[in-house]
Amino acid sequence: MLTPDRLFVWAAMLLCAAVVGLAALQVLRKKPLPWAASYTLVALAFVLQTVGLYLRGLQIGACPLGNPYELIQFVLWSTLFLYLVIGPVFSLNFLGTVTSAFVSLFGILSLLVPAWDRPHDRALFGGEPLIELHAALSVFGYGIFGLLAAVSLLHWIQYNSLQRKKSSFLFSFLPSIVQLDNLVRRLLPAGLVVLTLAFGTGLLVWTRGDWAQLEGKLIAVFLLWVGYGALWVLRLRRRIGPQVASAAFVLLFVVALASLWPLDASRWNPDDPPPRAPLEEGPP
Amino acid sequence: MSLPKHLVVLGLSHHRTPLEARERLSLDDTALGQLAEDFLTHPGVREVFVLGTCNRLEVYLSLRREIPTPELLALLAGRIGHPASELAAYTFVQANSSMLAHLFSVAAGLDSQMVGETEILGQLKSAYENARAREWVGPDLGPLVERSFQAAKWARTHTCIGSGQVTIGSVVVDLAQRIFGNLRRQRVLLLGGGDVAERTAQALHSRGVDEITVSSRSFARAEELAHAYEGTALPFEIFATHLHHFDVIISSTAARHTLVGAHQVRQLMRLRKHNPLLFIDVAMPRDIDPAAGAVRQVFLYNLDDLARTANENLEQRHEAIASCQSEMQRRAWQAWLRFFRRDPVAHGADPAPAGEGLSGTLPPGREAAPTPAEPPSGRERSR
Repeated sequence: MLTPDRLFVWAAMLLCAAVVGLAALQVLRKKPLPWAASYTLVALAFVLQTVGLYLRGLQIGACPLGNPYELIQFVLWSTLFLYLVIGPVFSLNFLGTVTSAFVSLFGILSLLVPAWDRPHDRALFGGEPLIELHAALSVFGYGIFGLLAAVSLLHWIQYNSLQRKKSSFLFSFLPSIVQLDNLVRRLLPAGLVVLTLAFGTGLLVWTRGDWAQLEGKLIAVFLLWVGYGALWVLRLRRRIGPQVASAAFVLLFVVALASLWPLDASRWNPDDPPPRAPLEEGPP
Repeated sequence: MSLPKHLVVLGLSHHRTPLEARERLSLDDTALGQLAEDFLTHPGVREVFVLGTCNRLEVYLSLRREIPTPELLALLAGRIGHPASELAAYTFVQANSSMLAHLFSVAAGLDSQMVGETEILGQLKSAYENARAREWVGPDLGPLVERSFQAAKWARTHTCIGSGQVTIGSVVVDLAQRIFGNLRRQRVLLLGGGDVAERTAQALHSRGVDEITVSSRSFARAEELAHAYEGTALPFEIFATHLHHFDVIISSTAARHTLVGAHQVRQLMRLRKHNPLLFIDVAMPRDIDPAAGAVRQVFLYNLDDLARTANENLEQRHEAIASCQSEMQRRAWQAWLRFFRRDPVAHGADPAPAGEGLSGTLPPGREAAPTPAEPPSGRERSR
């Protein structure tokens, strides 16, 4: 069912896919997609996705984090937001393209699977703003690590092309491994700070006993925090090289993304009556 | 019946000889001169001209009478110090008009590892000047070699084999940018003061590299080069202890053995704490142990690697190369006719023998595959 919020999200995802298509066309012409062009299109996609998520938020009366579709979209929104913030600072070729590819791939997938957008109760966080903050921070942290994974993927490609002496013009368009490593070094602590805040707020809620089901999520956030934290310390102490770290970041993010499903499913009790569909209700 | 072989080239090049073998078979300047003298001691040899670069070793001969190939090979093997049987696998022989077509292709850069490069012409001219000064070449080979220069000039001005041509310098700059991005803050070390190293340094300097250090066996040469790029000279004896300070190391010495071993690179990478290091080894024999390329964060490129990168746009120039090759063959044939007509009896009497007809048509294809690819040279000595 193409509801207005999903319509905007579809438009955003297709725009991201268009960035990838344009970049591919440019590559065929042996030219990079101008940075300003990809940045503008990604910015437009971000605006459309924000409108879509805002509409969904109005329907459920909370931050849209109630089902896998919403979780994925929020992670992708965070990734786009971060790209728009750091993009002008680093102006790295292909970062916009890789971010768009990552966003459109998972975004379109989440739109195509109806089961992922199952209706849920509007009292998602029980009216507790701290729980909502914890959820939003956690997912925003995922967004940062999503961008970190995209940057790491670029690093891995460039590093291996240089090691294997691949000389395609495509690799000349990619950012240098030093630039990518610099970006990784900034994204990693930023993600850790957000995740620490998420863990802190979650811990606060949990100690107050406000939300019994938070336990599993808290453990997941903690495990992620330990994983990324360990990599950060190892990088800081130069125990592992950037090429090993980049592979680990991609892998860890895939694990993090995959953990969203069991965590989301844990909230649903099969004996519970089916919740109302969000679109059947008006704005709060 | 075919004409006796009066003009002959015996050689080995990157087409049939891998880098490892070229290393073993390479000769320094002194040995190249001795090789020419060796050939001149043979009663059948009238003139000789030796071209030695890091990608080829070719002996051009004008003969009084035809000399069997094994005999020529034995002379070459004697100087190189390897059995003729081993050399035979790598060497090629071209005679008469085919020899000239080969010479013209070499001069035009068509036979180079980096197709269309111009450095080979300079090396050819330098080798010719040397041969002429020592009177190894005379009325036979002299005009023919000079005609090859004209042919090369024609190729450069009338075809687009040089367009889109990437130089060793531009390849290194591209690699350095893929690793470091902005080159302004990178530190470059030139090991050896050869032409290639100098040109590469020039390319890096033009892209903003400010810190160029030169270390050469001749400290005066190192100072001269360093001065040109507002850099510093480093005594050759202590360069090994300073390697970890540099991000890009371009090595082009004439050393006969490895200068930087893999173990040494592993140690210096510990000091660099995972910061990447680009090694460009354009020396022949190689200065950097190939095993160093396996060390993490080390990117080691040798001559063959650079040529492969540079020839990526070869497809686009395919048509220009084919047309240029055809013109070189036509010119070689005309030169051969002139050479033959000057003294037909001395060159084999029958003016229209099978296989080398004089009707003005192009000669049959050459024995050894010529064409593409030769990277730059990079030794301290002039090539």
